[in-house]
Amino acid sequence: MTVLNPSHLMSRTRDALPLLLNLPAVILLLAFIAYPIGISFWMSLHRYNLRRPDQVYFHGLDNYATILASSEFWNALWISLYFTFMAVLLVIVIAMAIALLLHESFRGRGVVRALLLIPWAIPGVVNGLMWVGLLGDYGAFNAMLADSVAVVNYLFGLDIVYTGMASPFVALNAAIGAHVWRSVPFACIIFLAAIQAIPTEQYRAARVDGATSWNRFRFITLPWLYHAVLVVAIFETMNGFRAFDLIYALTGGGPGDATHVIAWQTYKEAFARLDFGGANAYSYLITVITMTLAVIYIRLLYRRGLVQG
Amino acid sequence: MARVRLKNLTKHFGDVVAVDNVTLDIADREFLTLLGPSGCGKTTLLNMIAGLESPTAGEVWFDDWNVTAVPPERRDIAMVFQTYALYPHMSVFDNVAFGLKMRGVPTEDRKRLVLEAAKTMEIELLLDRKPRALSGGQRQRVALARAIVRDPGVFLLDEPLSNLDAQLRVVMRTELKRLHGDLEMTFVYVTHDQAESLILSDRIVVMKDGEIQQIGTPESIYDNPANTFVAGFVGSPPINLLKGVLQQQESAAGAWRVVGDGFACNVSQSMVERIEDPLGREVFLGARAEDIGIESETNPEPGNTPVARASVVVREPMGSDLYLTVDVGGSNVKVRTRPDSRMDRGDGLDVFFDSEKIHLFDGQTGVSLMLDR
Repeated sequence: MTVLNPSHLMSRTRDALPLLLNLPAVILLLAFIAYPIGISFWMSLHRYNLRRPDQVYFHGLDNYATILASSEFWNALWISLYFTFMAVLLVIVIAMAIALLLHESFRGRGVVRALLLIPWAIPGVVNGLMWVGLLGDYGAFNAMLADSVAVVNYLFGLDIVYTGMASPFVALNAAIGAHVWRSVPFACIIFLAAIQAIPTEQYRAARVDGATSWNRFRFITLPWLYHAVLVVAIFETMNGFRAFDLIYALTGGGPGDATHVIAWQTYKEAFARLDFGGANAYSYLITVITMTLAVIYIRLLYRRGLVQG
Repeated sequence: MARVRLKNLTKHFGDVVAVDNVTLDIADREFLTLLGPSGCGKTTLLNMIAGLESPTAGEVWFDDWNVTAVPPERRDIAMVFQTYALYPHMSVFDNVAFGLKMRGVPTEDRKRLVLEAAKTMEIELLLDRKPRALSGGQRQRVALARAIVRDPGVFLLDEPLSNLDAQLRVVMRTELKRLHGDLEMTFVYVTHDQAESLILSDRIVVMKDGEIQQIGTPESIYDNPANTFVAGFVGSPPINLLKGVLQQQESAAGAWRVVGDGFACNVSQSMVERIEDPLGREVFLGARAEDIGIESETNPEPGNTPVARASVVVREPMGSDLYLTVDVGGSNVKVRTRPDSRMDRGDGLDVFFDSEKIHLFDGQTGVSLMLDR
């Protein structure tokens, strides 16, 4: 005779309930994250150019091969690497300096800390437009730079021609500057939080041990910030590689191909050349690059282990 | 080696007076303990000796050197912190060597000195480890090694044992005492643990609310507390304090007694002679648990009249001793007695005080009436 075990039935329902409750979130994640990622990869394996809508067909890794063989890609990759490297370096140095300053107590510190967040709150395109205003032909910074170059030329008898944003060097570094300006606050908050977590007794012990203020920074603060620096480096590396909106507004990829970062190249493939297959392959290459870097960083993070004793 | 002198040292934090006009002379190679409850200013005082806090007023002298304005890195001190403050990213070796490195000691000497200190603290086998791989006791040893390696004149310890468990604390206490014997340094030790202070110190400074309450050897502080605060803070269990009035008996040749709720305790003539205006004076009668006897057991003077009739409220066996909390006229009095006593909750008994060992304090101010005026 079969006996219906009510407790067994109960446990069945209990197992199903959490799954059921999670279902809406799972569906949303699948629809808005997994599906686009999947379809994007699928498209990257196709010839898919909107100018030839009749010729959509699967051709394996052809898009990737074409991209890796093109000088455009390597140019964009080098520009992105330079952009990212400079951005990460500058963000870390500047944000740490500001965080150390903001850790000191002074009148109005709260206001300054709040003001610091403003650049972070500005959208990338708006940031780009703002810097266009500053660095464009009639911009204040541009005028100052031009005057400074003139002064330097006069003083040292040099012959530097200043062409403003028409110069590839100025345009690329101006883009980096604008990117850094916007990225510093976030890094600064992470550093400030990390600095505040350092026990004051560490500094007291170091002082009693005879450490000067530089040595206290070098041997106490920096090692304690190792984690925070890595976290910021991961974030900023990803941001650097994906920088697009700022470039779009500030330089439009120019002059020439001087600010053709890899995200810009992707945009160009998709919306100028209407080659969706190629653009998706570009996106995947960016993903692979940033993921590789992230994995390297995270391994560093775990190799050093937790700093806390 | 250094003699430390504090002259009228005061520290304010905003409106709060953390240390109030402290003058103190710490002898070379002395083990001096700053004892008091939390917030009494003992750590602030220690930090001012270290140079980690600058005094609002007053001076700190090391021998003939006024160090008041000298930063800690240039004072000849070493310090052990409550949390040890080991550098988590450095190995034990580097932790111990850090102070030497900062002072520019050459690598070879550094290695030799670290090994010496490690040997003293028995941590030679831990030198390659990071602090997080150490137990609490081992961390404590590393912190001590880091302090002694530089052979400082003054050794400052801020509650170094309070993060250890009870058993380890006893071990490290002995270790500290041995260290002080071996090292010939001046030790200034901060603690809130009166037992630690009694065991370790040459002299104890009892502090409360930023002021020194009493300075003295452990024996003198225990036997002659300057006021009810010191009497209650030093000694475990705390001294029993009973409020009463000094009276002279009509009969019995004018003998003096302290009379309060439910008790009457004889006071010797020599004691009364030290007191100004004794008649009718309100006093606190202090008696330590070990100076109280109970009926037919540890009556110090046979034939004595009992001080009070009391009843047992709590029985606390402690192995070698038995503590009874008894009710005397509504006040709880702790009594130490032999562990084989059968007394238990609800039992009635007679209580005797050792009249030579009782303490009398002013009923208003709490100041001892027994100290020589």
